Amino acid sequence: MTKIKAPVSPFRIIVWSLLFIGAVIMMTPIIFMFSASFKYNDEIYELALISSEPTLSNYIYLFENTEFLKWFKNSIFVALASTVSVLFFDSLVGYTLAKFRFRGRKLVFIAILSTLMIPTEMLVIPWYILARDFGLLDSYIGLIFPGIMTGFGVFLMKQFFESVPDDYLDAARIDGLSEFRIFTQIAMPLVTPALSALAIFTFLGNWTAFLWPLIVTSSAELFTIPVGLSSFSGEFQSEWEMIMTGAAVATLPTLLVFLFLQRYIIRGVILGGLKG
Amino acid sequence: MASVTLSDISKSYGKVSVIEHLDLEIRDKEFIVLVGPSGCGKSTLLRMIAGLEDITAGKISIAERMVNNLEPRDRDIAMVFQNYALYPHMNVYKNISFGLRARKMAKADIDTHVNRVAEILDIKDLLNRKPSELSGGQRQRVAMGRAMVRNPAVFLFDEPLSNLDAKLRASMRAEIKKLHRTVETTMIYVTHDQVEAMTLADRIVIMDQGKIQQIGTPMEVYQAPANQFVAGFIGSPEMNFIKSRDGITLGIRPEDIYLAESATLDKGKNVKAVVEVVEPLGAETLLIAFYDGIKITAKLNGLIDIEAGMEVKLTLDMSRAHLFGKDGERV
Repeated sequence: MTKIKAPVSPFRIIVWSLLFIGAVIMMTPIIFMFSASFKYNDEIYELALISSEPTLSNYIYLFENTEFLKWFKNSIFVALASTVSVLFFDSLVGYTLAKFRFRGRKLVFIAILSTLMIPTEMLVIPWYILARDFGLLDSYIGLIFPGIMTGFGVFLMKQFFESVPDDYLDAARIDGLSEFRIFTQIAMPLVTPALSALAIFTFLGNWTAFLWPLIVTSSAELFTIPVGLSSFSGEFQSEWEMIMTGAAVATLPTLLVFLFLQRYIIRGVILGGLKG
Repeated sequence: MASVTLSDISKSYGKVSVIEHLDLEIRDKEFIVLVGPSGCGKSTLLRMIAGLEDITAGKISIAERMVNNLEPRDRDIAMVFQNYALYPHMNVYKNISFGLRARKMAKADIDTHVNRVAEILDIKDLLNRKPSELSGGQRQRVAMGRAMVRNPAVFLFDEPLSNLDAKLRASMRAEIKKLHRTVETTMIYVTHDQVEAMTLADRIVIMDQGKIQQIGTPMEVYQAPANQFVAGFIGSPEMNFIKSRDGITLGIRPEDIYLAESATLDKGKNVKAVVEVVEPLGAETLLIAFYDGIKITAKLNGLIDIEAGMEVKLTLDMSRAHLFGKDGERV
């Protein structure tokens, strides 16, 4: 049998072209970021992708002469702690709202949902006052506390838990599990795609967060990467090659997180145990 | 001794009453089938026995111990769900052993128990597979294995065969019956399928609108239905009902109607009817005919040479007829 190749339809050509243009628009700044990280300061405004004199000196300077490693560790800590906390608390609340009937359930849900309508810029002032009054300014807890739980995560997890058939939970109840263990051992593994998606959003959101870390921290050893990098930008001049080098290093963890978690998003686990 | 006693059980959701003042005594080692149309409250009743649903009023005892306020895990029951509810992220071994692990049984003992059950159910080769890699029948077996492994005092089945095809259903039915003989445990089985009810049950509980309509052995409910609902529900095709002017209804089963020419009955009543549909099933033929505007279904032996539109003389075996009063109760 010979394989018959279907002719490429004009529609597909248009779609591919659009996707290609989209990819170019999104990739170009990243390519320039990497390119600039290998350039000397005097070459930085030249558009050439590959420098005439590529150098690693920016990287060496970044790691040896700045607090970059410290910022990197801070960013990792803040992003990981927020992610773990969001995954646990948001799914706990989402699960409760999805699977238990109690008075005021809808009200609680609407209250949580309404927090999505308030932009971060409006929240930083009350957060700041809270942090100041509790003595959390310029501390790790101060950095993390606004992101311990998110309305978006609760909403997302509630929607996913609603699709988990009650029979699994009932089967576990009869098997002898406590409600908390049903949540951790049965319900959570059934929503790994949602957890992965939430983990990626949360990690990236916290990794790139700038406004709150800038406001709450004042000592350089507590800076996260975005705040640290902004210190390369002064009133009269910006060290773009250093900012680009720092940003290039900062993309690596996000890339790893995405590569590691995307297979969990793709793999739908929820079906299979029920009727075929 | 694992008898199950339900005393004056009621269940309502807000103002909607689902089950009202229900009493039921299930004996040790008995196979009880709760049967009825959808919405009759049979699954709710099963879930109340399991502890998955609160009861509004009344008392449930298992093995002479009141369990009203006990969690499902403390009631010494196991349940097989309609859609099996096998944990999709665990393999068969883990699915079956999950309840034992939750109870912190020693690993070696778990192994022994799982292997014993896998042997009985012939699923030893499947222990490492995930539920998604199993066929419907295999999943059904695993679900039964999960229930069996704990040696519960009472087995609860919630329409376990309704997702299987007809052939598999028949063979699984036989297996459940065999299982009951092997494990000698009280079993409560919910179904809307009267064939399952008739073939499996020691006693059938027929429910409608949250009330028990009749409790009896399969033959009792078939031969002496307590009311018109039971008479119509048990038996396929459905019993024929002929209403008289004084409000009494005569009920006669399709299998108690014969062609007049081949009938030799002492107490027969002959009627002339016009055939509307003929359904040859092989071993028997279903005849749907109209007599005086009343639809009559007859189940006749063998294949017969009758066509739609013909007039036939049918003999009703009056010795096997049932009479129901105005209130639908047996007279």
